[in-house]
Amino acid sequence: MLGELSGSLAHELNQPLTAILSNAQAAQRFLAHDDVDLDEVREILTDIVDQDKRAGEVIHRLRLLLKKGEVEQQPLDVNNAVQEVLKLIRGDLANQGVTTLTKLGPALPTVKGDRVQLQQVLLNLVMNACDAMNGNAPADRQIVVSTELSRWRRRPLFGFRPWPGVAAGELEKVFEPFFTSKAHGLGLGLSVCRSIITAHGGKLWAANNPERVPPSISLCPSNNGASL
Amino acid sequence: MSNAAPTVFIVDDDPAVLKSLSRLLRSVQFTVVTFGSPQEFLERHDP
Repeated sequence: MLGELSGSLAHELNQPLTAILSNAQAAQRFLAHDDVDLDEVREILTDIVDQDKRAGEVIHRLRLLLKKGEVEQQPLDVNNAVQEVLKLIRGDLANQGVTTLTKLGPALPTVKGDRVQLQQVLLNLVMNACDAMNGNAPADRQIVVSTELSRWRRRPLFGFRPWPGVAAGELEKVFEPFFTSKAHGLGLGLSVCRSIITAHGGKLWAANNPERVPPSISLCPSNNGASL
Repeated sequence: MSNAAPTVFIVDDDPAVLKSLSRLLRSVQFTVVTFGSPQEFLERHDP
């Protein structure tokens, strides 16, 4: 895993670090000028802060990715976890004109897992779907989130049907570290999601979406309750 | 040409890198023109 990561990681960290260094050196030189343009220096400091956060975000995601196996197991109600996440991002979704259709299954087994990590996965999938629908007409921006009992008796599933435009052959690639279709994406989101779900004994899969139906996300807890 | 500040053309796909390098070079009196992609450079640059 580290081998795969190190090349792209170097690049992902180098970008913000280069920007921080050049900005700081530029500010040092601007400040040495007789007529200091303080507005420019203020802008530079703002950019340094932003780029530092960007580098921090790469590290943060990387740590999540490498923290496999250390799952805090708490019993949790999947429907409740879904509702909490959707409530949390209601404002964001409204701003983007995205609506959600939730289909929550009745009488689902309680599962064991790390609530925060599982909610991060869901959040990530929802945000991914939102980004993918950016160009859609307002009437065509809906995400379906559903829960149902896993069809695999022993293994919980966490699935999503991504946005149209991911070719069947690319489906597994979306889980590779640093794979991204976005101009400014880090490409870490889905690989982190998969690591989290795998550490929970579950399976995160992506299905093809050739009919261009709204992106859908399904959480399917399993009946044995031993994991996820 | 010998009296004018030399112009540096920067091509980079990362807006933050582009902006910061542009500032750094301007801070030492270069004239800077930036481009987000090689295509953009070829389209806009007139030698």
